[in-house]
Amino acid sequence: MDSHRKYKGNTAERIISEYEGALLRYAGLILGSGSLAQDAVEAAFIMVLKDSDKMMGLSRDQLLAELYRTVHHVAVTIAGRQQLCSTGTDVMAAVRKLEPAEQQVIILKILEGKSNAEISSIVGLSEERVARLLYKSVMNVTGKLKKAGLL
Amino acid sequence: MNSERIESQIRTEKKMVECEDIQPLLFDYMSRELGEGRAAIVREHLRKCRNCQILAKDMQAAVDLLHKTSKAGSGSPERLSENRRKKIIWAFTHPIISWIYKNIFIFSIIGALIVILTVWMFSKFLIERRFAPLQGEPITVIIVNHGQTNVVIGDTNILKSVDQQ
Repeated sequence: MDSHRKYKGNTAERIISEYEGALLRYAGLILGSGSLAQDAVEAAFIMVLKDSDKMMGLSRDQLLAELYRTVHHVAVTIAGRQQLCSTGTDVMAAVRKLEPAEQQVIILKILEGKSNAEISSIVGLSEERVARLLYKSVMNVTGKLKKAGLL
Repeated sequence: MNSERIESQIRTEKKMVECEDIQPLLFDYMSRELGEGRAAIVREHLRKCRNCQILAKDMQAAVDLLHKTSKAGSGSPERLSENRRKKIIWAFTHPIISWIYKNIFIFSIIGALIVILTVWMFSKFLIERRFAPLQGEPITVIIVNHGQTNVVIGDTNILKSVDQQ
């Protein structure tokens, strides 16, 4: 029993170490706060790791996609609760003013450097829809940056 | 039949080079996500179209600015704090806590039932205590005139002892 617990603990430790950096950066870009980003990532890890049977059966890419989806969901919920997104004139404020789905693809594409195929597996949309959503997001963010006098 | 197909292909290609068809492909073109055929059409269109050139330039400037900002950092730490790591691992490995996290729905229902049952039992206890008939043997109250003072005796045993006296 103890060895099983130890094994689970080591697995969780390994997963956290592998993905925490990317997830914290992602949540930080959405929330604009290190402390809120940590809240979001902690909640996401607990939500994903709780279903250990399902989690153990996932491939590395599937697990990363699941974690990104969960962090996004939690971060958007926190942002809504904290009434973030609508203030500030910096560059990231322009991204935070986008719709959640647009924020998600633009952060994954431009800031995390993911390909359309990777984004498609994370957000669960076809590559064609991801491309359309990306175009719309980039157009919107360009407009907002111009309006804020940052371009 | 063959000439019809060629004409239709020409019509499609002509339609493809309209700005409204090219613009949605601009970002994919810039991020090298387009196949060589479509990329060549976009490149050719951009060479001729001033409007699309301006749009592409603006989009590229926005993308560069976002890149620069993200490299400067999102303000979040690179690692979770030790306490948070311990909390996650504890939630994952502790047999009861991990069961609760895993079966949060069942746990919520059980919790709600326990609360309802406790409230119901406590209310029942209070109601019974408030409205229950008095228990034990009936008490007879007799007033005995003892000299100048009226003594009230409320117990039959005492009454007997008064009679004997």
